[in-house]
Parts: sequence; structure tokens; C-alpha cells
Amino acid sequence: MKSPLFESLSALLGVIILLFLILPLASITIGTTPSEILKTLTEKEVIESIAVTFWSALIATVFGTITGIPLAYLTARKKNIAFELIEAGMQVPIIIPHSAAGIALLSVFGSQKLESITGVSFMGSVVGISAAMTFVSVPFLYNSAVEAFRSVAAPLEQMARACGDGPFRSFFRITLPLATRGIISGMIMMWARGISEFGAVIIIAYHPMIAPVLIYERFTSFGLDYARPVAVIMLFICSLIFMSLFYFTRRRKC
Amino acid sequence: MLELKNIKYRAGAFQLGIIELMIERGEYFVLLGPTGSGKSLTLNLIAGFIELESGSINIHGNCVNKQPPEKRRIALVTQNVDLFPHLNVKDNILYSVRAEKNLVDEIAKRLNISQLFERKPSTLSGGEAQRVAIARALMCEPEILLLDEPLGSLDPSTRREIRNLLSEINEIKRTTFIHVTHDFEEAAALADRIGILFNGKLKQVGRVEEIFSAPVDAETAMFIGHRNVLHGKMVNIDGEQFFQVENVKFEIPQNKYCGNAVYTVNPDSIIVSVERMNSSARNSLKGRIINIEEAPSAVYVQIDVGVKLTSMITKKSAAELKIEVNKELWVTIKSTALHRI
Repeated sequence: MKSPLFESLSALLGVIILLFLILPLASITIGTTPSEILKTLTEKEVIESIAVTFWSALIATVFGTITGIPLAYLTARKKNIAFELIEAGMQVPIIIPHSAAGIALLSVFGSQKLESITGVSFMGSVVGISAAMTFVSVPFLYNSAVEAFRSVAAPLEQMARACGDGPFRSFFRITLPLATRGIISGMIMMWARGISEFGAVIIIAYHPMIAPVLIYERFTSFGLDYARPVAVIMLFICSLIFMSLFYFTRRRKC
Repeated sequence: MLELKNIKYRAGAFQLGIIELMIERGEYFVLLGPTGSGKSLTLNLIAGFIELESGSINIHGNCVNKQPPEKRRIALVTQNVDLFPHLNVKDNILYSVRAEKNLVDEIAKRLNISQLFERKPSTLSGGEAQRVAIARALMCEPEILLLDEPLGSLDPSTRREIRNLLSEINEIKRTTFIHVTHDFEEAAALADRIGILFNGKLKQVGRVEEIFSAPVDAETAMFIGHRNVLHGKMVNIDGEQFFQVENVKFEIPQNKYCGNAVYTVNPDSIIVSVERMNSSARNSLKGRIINIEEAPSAVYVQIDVGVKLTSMITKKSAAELKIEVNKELWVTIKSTALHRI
């Protein structure tokens, strides 16, 4: 049984971290009037940047899901040094400075040769923004999917095989449905991380401008008062979407 | 018919090596051995979940080494049941692509699970879940049903119920059953034949009574529940042969063996009495009771006659003999009741 002193101390420390997170968000929200927000919402530049942000993050998430889920499955099932190294390596984008990630991406996607081979321009395009977002955010999806696949007992797949399913069929009938919740959580995390990315994107594509870059540009050019309404709008939209998605995934669990 | 030939598989320090095993169509074969002896590994090799290193597995004369599990016409029931948790009972039963939908009602009725169709596996009791798992396996129309300790996690009454069910299904469907367990009583109740597996080696294969009456070695004898396993040596005194354990000599049927030997004697072949018996039995030894163990239908009396022997007597006999620890008794054993292994 926990002592009252232990619980009181835990609660006190919890309040400190909650205030640390809530106060800045509350401050910009309270410091912005509804009329400022409505006026900002009529600006074409703001609406376009929000659309580019969400659209690019969605492309990154779809690409990350298609390519990352199979790798996550193999990581969860194969127990060898190669996949242990891959799992460790997949954490690198989380720990390196994102400006460094942007420079690394620039060295690959900035070459004219790649553009001439693929016919796709990465620099200053939605594709480039999505590439930068994928690089920094796919580990969130990968980690969540690996854990989800690990939680599906391998004997269930064997049982499906014994019942006559081939490997693809057993994956889609057993493994994937049982791992869905973890994968969806990972997709939400990846999308959220993509939306908030700034460092890597600004190096690959200053334009078309995503919302974090727009906020930065307005702050450096015109000051806090001009940047704050865009920040509040992003805060509001992101909170609404993520709370809805998390509520949806929790309902599925129930 | 299932045939295992020269099966070898190494997993770390463990080596499985089954030289030869043939299981007839419709046979109920039990692979019996202690934990870690390689029983489940053998099932996984037969199922095709693990690839063989050497040897071959033949089903009805066809080598299936390269066939994936879904092509082998096998089904599996495990101790952990492994029902698909996101599907209800009916969808679990109908999961197999080979499932004949018109068999559902018949199998569900036989296994008494029709009323569970809409329930999720997490809401089932252990016995219900195991019955559903058996139904799912039968719906696969398997040629070989693999049972990996299917009774291991069940309470005694459910275990009896599922045991009877398995026996009944094997009788009716004549599907080949391969059942692994560490429980000799379970094996004896179900098996047409038993294979004894120790440390990855198949030591003995035979009918239940053959194995119990003539276990291949002392380890097997102990494992299958022999209470009197005597390690000693053959001695010759005045041209007559005896089996000597420490300072106790047993008269035995004359044979040509010499050197060290192991003999067993069934507890129900050991007669205990207050006075020395005058009978045809060749071994009468005086000893002292050192332990009394009550079983549901009998009493096991352990007597020290220089070596420890366990006799099984009825409760009525125990009462009449007024047995108690430290009481002196005579032990009588016919020489033909001693079996050399």
C-alpha cells in the first residue's frame, strides 16, 4: 500500500510538469482574441500553408505505412542480429538534430541527377516536404507497429497456417487485424510528428510554406503578435484531430 | 500412415534424433516424455512450422519435407488453445479454408458448443475453449491431428471430460492422433501405442501394457510411475543365481545374465503380512514401515527391508493389519514378480 506522503509527492511533481506544458499553450491562446483568429483564417497564405502541412504529412504517413509496416513485421518476427541492428538504426532520425537530417536529405534529394532520373523535383515541392517528414517521423510508426506485431503471438499465425492459410492469408486474416490498433496509433503519431516538423523541412523546401515555417517566418519578420494567431489555429486544429483519433482508437479497444 | 525417418534437429545445445517411427492411419499415438525432451519440437517438425535439418517425414508414402504447413492436411490443438481472439466461436470454427460448412452443426453438437457460437474466446472457460479448439481442428478435415499437451491447463474434471471426448472422436473419425504429454496416466488412458522420448531420443515404442510391464530402462521405469526400481548386481551362490541390492538378496527366475542389473516389481505384487507366510513365493523379507501414503482407492506402504520397497494394499487390509509407521511386517514377493529391465 502506498503511503500518503508518496502519493502527495508524486501528485506535486505531476502538477509541475503539467503546468510546464499547459502554461505556454494557455498563454498564447488567452493572448489571442477571437477576431484576430477569424481575420487570420481569411488569409489565403495561412489556409494554404495549413493545407500543405496536413497534405504533406498525410503523404508521408501513407508512404511510411506501405513501406514501414512490412519491415516492422519482419523486425518483430525475426530474432537475429541483423534485425536488432535495423531496429536500433531506425531510432537514428529521432535522436539526430532535424536540421542535420535536412542536410542529409539534401545531399540525396538535392542532386540534379536524381531529379533527371526520376522526373520528380524534391527541392521546393510537396514531395520534398513529404520526404523530410517521412525521414523524421517514420520511426514513430515503425516502433508502434513492431510492438503491435510482437503482441500478436506467433502460435496464432502457426494455427492459421495449420488451418490451411498461406503466409499472406494468415497475415491479413490474423496478424494485421490483431495489430491494427497499434498500427493506427503509430500512424497518428507519425502524422502528428510530420505536421510539427520544421528543421528538416526548412532545408529541403522553404516553399511551398508549411504552417511551422509560416509561423517562424511571421515571427522573424513581423514579431510575436503576428505569428501567434497562426500558432493558435494550428494548436486548435491539431488538438481537435488528435483527440478525435485517440478517442476513436480507444473506442475500438473497448 | 505417418513415417518419421532419421529425423535430426539441433536447437542450441539440444539435439533431437528420432531414427524411425511409423504411426498407422487412425492410430492414437502418444509421445510421452518429461519437459524439455523434444515432444513439442517433434510436433512442430511434423506440422512443418520448423524445417528439418535431415531425415524425412512421409505422410501416406509422400515426403512432405518441403511442403508448407497449409499443404500437409494437419490440424493442431495446443495447451494454450490459441483461439483467434478477434473472432467469435463460430468464426473460429469456420476459419479453415478447408472447412465443410455443413459439418458445423454436427461437430458443434458432438462437442456441445452450439450455444457458444456468438461468444468471443476471452469469455470462455478453459474446457469450453478447448472444446472449441478441437472443433476448429476437426473442421480442417485433417489426416493427422496434433495435440500438444491439450489437457495440461484444465482442471481434473474437465480433463477427464476432454480425454473421453478425444478418445471418442478418434474412434469415430479414425483420424490419426499424435498427442504429446508428460503424464503417463493420460497416455495410458488414450493411447493405442506410446513412444517414450527422453532428451531428444525415442527410447521405446509399444502398447501401454508392454511399456509398463517391460520399461526399457530405469529412467523410463521411474518416469512411468514404477515405485520399485531396484539397482543391484547378479550374484551366484552355490550355483544358484540371485539379484543382490546392497545386502538384500532376491531369488529370481534363473537366467544367463551377470553383472549389474535393474529390476522392477509392481507394488500390487508385494504381499505384506504380520507373520512370515508359508507359500510358494521365494522371497520373504522382514522390514519396518517407514512411510504410509493414502491414495483414493488404496494405500501405499513403504517398507525398509534393507532396501525400500513399496506395496499397494487395500484400505481394508491396511485397517486389518493395523499398519503404522515403525511397525514390523513381513514382505513376500514371488521371484517371477521381479522383472529385469
